[in-house]
Amino acid sequence: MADYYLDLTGFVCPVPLIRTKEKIKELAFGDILSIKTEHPRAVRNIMDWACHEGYSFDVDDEENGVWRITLRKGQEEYNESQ
Amino acid sequence: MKKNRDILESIIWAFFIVLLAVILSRMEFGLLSVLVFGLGLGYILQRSRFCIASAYSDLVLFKEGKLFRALIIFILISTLGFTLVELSGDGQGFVVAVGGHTILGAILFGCGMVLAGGCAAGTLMRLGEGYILFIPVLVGLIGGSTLGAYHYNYWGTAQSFSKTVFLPDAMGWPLAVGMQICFLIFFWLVVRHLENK
Repeated sequence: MADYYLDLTGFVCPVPLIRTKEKIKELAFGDILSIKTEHPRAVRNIMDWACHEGYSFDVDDEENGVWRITLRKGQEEYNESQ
Repeated sequence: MKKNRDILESIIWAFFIVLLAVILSRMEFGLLSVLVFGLGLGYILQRSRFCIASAYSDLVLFKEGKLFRALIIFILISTLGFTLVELSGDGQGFVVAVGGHTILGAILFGCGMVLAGGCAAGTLMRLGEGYILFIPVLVGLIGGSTLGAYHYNYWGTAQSFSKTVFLPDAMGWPLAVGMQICFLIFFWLVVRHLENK
């Protein structure tokens, strides 16, 4: 299980979700991806997509207008494979 | 500490808004309603995270149609509101003929909106949030609008396919509004189909 980090500050929609989807393909099940963004719509997009994929996630307000989304790739599938 | 700073900032902004409201109401009372509506719409836009650019790009790129369906509801409500205003005789819609300028304008606006990450309202809202990345977008928006307004007459007349057709005049209000609602329901079903694909 490894931790990955993606700094997407300075990118507007739809780039953050495209980059997140590209990055998540490189991750193994159970790995954690931490994403930093300051685009509010991107936060909602990534949350909706994570819900759709069934990934567990957490959103933190790092500072005013900057969010960090921490998501785990397919936790359930990871548990099943143990 | 952060909370105290937020409260202080809110008080300062509230003071400036009240000051602006007083100045506007002394100039012309109607301007006050414009300020109230502007603040209300801006607040709703910001809190709902509604974005017209994302409505299109999410549907095309990610097959996510939640925002596009919201856009359909938005057009439906606007249609009914527009009908009421027109029928009450208080306002007059600005209708121009469809033509080459419609196609060119749609492509330019669509590409610009998705590349910049926001339409006109979205750009203003994000600037209001303090997102400085949208300053060059606003400059481009003002520049483009000014350029468009400068030679608007050429595009409005020389490129038209036909004379101006206003559907309620051509087929009556009930049929025109009914047809528009049917189209919107059809688009809604198409979006649902694309999402479930």
